[in-house]
Amino acid sequence: MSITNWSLISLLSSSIEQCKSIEFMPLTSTDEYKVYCYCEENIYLCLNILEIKPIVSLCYSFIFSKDYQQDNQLNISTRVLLCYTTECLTSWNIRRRLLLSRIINIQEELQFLDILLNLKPKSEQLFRYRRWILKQEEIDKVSTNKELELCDRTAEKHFINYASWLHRRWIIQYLNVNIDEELERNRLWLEKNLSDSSGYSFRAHLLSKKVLDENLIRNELNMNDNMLEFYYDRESLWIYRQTLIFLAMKLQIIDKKQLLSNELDSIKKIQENFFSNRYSRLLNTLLSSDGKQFRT
Amino acid sequence: MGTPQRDVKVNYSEVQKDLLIEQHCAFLIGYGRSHNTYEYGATDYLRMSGIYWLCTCLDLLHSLKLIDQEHIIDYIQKCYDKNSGGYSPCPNHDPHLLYTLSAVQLLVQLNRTDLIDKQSLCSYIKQLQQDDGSFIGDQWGEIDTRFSFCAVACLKLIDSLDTIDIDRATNFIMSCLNFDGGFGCIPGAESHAGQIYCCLGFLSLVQRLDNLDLSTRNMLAWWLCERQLDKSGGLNGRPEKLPDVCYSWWVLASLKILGKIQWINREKLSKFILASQDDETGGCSDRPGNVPDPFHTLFGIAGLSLLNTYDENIIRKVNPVLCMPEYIIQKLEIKMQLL
Repeated sequence: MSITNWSLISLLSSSIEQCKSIEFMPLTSTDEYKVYCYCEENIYLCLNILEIKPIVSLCYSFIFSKDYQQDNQLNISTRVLLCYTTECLTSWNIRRRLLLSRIINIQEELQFLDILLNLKPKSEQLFRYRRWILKQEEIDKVSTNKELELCDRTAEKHFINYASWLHRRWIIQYLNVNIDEELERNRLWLEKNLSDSSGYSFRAHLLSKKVLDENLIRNELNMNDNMLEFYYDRESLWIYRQTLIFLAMKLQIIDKKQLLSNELDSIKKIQENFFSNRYSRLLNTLLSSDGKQFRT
Repeated sequence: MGTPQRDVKVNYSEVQKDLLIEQHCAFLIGYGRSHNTYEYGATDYLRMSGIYWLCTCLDLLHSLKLIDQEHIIDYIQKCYDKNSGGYSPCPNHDPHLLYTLSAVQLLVQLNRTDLIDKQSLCSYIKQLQQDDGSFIGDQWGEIDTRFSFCAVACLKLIDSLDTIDIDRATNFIMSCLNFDGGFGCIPGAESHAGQIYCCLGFLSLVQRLDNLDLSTRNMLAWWLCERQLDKSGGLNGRPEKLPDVCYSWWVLASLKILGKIQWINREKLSKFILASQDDETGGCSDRPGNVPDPFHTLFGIAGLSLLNTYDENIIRKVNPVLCMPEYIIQKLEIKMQLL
């Protein structure tokens, strides 16, 4: 393990610490020297996508070498590795230990995760580690807005992002976020992201946290009617409508037959398409089987 | 009639129609061998599972004899963590329940269960069960229904299911049932085909599928068959997502457990899987035209096995719960519930 190799990793580590964003791109090396990264204005770090394997290899060799086990050394080697391969659980575990012994600062680590989440917005491992860190922090030091913004950003960067919406569900619960305020934020978000089925699934989840009644569901169905008027061929809107009906059918006081018949009538007003036909078939099957069958 | 369903365009008159057995075997063997390929290093964190995908796929194609068994067994031993009793994905990496299952599956398949320290493995899994019945994956405490499945699958393979509290474990799984009939990774999480497979697999292994009433089973089976896309014939994992060959496993196996596999259009799905093969390198990718990998190759072949597209002499029957060749499950006389 040469000193030059360690210098390289240390250099990459400080570049990562100082930067505000990371990107991977092909950079041209020459016969004389290899280019591993390029930094613009001290904050935009560009890592060479063609040199991933050697760096990953190097990092692992330091992480598992008995000569590089000091806390500050592990901090450096894992920081670099995790930019290149965010899914290495063992490296995150090393950082958990460093965080618990206060070598790593919570707020700085959260910032590091912000940068990595911009790079890999749907990484389950990143979100999980983030939740673990948040649990180590005093709860009133956790910024609800920051977390919700992060969820918005990652949900927009990667469409129908399971990991992002799971994080949001956890944040709502953990930080006791007001459900009605969330419903309104969600409504506005969905207006700009009509086909995000995870966004709709989240909305249904929020509804299920309230005391479900006919009015609530009726309101949602009306909103859905308005959307379907212009966007009659968006699958997510139809799926959400189905979900509302399923939720309604769970209410004791609802007359299922009436509900389903009313639905069949109301969709006649919408322009016929693949999804409206599918929905009618479902409603008819449910009607004829008293809500027990979904497909013949 | 408006925008069609979100899907990929597949030109079925031009794509691959035959099963490229030899190419797949060559692809898988090659993947496992070369230390110089990009994959080594970058995928160390899951390599145990990678080996399991490779070996299982080869066995399904009657070609397990092509691998270097001794080398693999030696590798598995190096990944055993005697402190915890679990297995790591790669030497030096931390142990985890996910890779413990892959290791156990491999040892069972290669007929070396003598190498498993049953007591140690049982106590490893037992201490991962939480008060609410759920399972964490490792000491850092993350809960996921996938881990419940891994726990019971491991124990079932070594005939020690009563190590854990089955009632509590089942209660936790049931608490993850959503109002659309699906399951998520924790209570209140979005339904996802992968998680549904794990939860149904769990219920099948502990033989408690009856916890799902008829209406729920119908709803779930319907949700699953809605994953088949009309034009490409492929399956997605959630509404509005593109089809992916790995869902040919998660969704199909789930439907098999529910006894409703006939709700999938067999012909269309087979065509989609075959079209996702790479005729230059062998192997399957997530969808036609993309880069193949062992993960999608296994699930593509396993999917074709469940569909009975080919005779058993070509692709062996696969067990829909454990994703292992059925002959191995029969030999061990492992019982599970299928509706």
